[in-house]
Amino acid sequence: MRTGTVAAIVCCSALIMARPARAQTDYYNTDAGRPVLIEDAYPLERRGFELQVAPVRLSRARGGAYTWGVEPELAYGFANRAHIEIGVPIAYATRAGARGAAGISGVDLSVLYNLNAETRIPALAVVAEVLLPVGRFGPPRAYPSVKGIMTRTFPVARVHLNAQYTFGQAITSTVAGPIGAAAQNVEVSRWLAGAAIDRTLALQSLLMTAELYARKPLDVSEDVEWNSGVGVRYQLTPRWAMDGGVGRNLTGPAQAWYLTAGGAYAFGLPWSAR
Amino acid sequence: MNRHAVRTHLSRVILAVMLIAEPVQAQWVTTFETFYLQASHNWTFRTRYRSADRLFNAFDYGHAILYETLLTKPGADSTLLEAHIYDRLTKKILLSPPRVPLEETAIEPMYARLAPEAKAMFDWSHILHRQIYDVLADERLDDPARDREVQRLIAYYKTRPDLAFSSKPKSMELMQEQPYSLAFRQKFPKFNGLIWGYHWFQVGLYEPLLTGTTPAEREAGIRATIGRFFQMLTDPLRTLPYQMPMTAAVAPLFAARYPEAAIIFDNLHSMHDVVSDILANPAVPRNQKRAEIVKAGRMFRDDTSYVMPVAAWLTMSAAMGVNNMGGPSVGFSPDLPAPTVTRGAVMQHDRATGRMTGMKVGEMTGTMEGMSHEQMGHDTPPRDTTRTPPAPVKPRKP
Repeated sequence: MRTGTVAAIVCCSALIMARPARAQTDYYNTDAGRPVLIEDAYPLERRGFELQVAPVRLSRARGGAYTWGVEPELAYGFANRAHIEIGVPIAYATRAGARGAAGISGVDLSVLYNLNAETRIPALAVVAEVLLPVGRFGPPRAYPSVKGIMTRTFPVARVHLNAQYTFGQAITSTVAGPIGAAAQNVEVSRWLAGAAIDRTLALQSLLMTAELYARKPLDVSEDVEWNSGVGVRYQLTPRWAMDGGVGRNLTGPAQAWYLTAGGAYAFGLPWSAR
Repeated sequence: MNRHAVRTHLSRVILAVMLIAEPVQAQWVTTFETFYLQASHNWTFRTRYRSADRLFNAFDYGHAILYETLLTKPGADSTLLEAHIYDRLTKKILLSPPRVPLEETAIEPMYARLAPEAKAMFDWSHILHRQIYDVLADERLDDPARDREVQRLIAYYKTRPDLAFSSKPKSMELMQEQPYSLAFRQKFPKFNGLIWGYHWFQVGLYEPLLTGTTPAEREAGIRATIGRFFQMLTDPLRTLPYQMPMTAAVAPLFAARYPEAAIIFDNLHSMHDVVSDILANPAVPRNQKRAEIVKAGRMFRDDTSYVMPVAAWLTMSAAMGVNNMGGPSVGFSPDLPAPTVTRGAVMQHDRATGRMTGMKVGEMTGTMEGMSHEQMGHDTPPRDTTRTPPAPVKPRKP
């Protein structure tokens, strides 16, 4: 029971972290999960790479269970207005009186395609993603998702709207084994919709952001959950962008707090004229 | 509903859709960013010449806040730009410039929305600007290696023909003889001078990196050019450039060694002025500004509009007078040169030869010192002035 509970917490948190993390080069191009989930509609530059070196996340659920996670990611601007990304979330969970557990909690593959640059028409993008059942704490099966993104810029702030839908079998408590127990708390969303607003201090290369979103867990027994978060992104050097944030599940069974911090390093592909 | 009514109704719907679809199509932009050329010299200039590099960041802010202000506050009193923003730029931001390159969209969000294609053209060219600085600042590279790397950068730049400025010289007619031209320099002469001062510095700073024969000489040259730039700010309406700085005049060694880059930068700086004019000119209706900017961008990218021979471009650059552009960026005397034309004057040039044919706006003032007489319609055959740095200018008291 204890093992199952820890595994459940790990999976729960790991799958939160396994949400798509769009990688873009600088502080102004927001990435999902870095530090808030709602992101903008712009991709990584063509021929650019971004390595999320050590994005760390600490969450504390009701009851005092702590979860640490690291999700190294690599993104590449493989085509005009498109990037591909792979993330491998790794989680470690502890609970009072319980032995900690660590493991890979899936592999996240995604492609973002930007449809247009913003004019009087907002910037639009679509994302296709799949969370693969890889690792000790990976999900029980692959979960493909699609997402639509809209970014609208105003003189004082930008607003981003995201809407995501995940395909695949609903999770129920009938799934056997530790993963099945974990699955009772899996936080892959059947759907997710939310908004973020950000404000930039351009001379300081600092972006402040806040989000609010609702999600319906895949677990059919859970209700729609509301979440909020705030954070900052900061351009440390031309190649390094740092971020940090804090957020909370406003409703739902865990009502967890989280803290997150990370850094992304940008580089390009070698090139030579033929 | 009878058939006629249905047909009429359908026609109206189709017409309405067509009317809506055209503007939507005009607003549907698919420009995108490309990562800068990955190379061992990336960010070398930033590392070696930090204070100069930071000034570039401040210049980016100055350009961006200018466009945003012109677009979003068209009815504002000229003192907003000429006094408030100018003072903020010159008394605060240039003295304590940003430490990293800025995200200009965050400074000019409405302008970025108006013409993302033009913004992307500027961004792409600014990357070329900075990467050439990196090459010339990299002490590990010898001259042939530098030349190879600059050519590689230009080739990479041209992989984005949708963004790259033409490397064919363009006549100044494209910049200053269009229906919307001169609005900015006439309404905001001080700010216009500041922008030209930026451009003087941006092309001029290549020169000490080429003329210096040792790292110490190069560093001293960079420091001197920075000092010269700040000297231009002392009495802006008098000391800032009176003409757009032409690379071949301000940085002749650079232009002779890398003419394609020099031409690209002149075209870039010309388009900066064109966008300022379009935004500042009330005769261009607000709903036409985007179309005019996009059209200008097209003409600056193509290899046909207003093109002149390279020799003519060199002749024109010399005829405009380096003293009207802030003077040379190396080997200058302590005092700033005296301009020889009125501020913002429009000289006209023969597109085939580059020789001056007249003055459309403004007039010559006093001495022609610093101007190339043989390029002003006299009989001396044209020569490659980029290979002959201008003579030191005699100090002149105001």
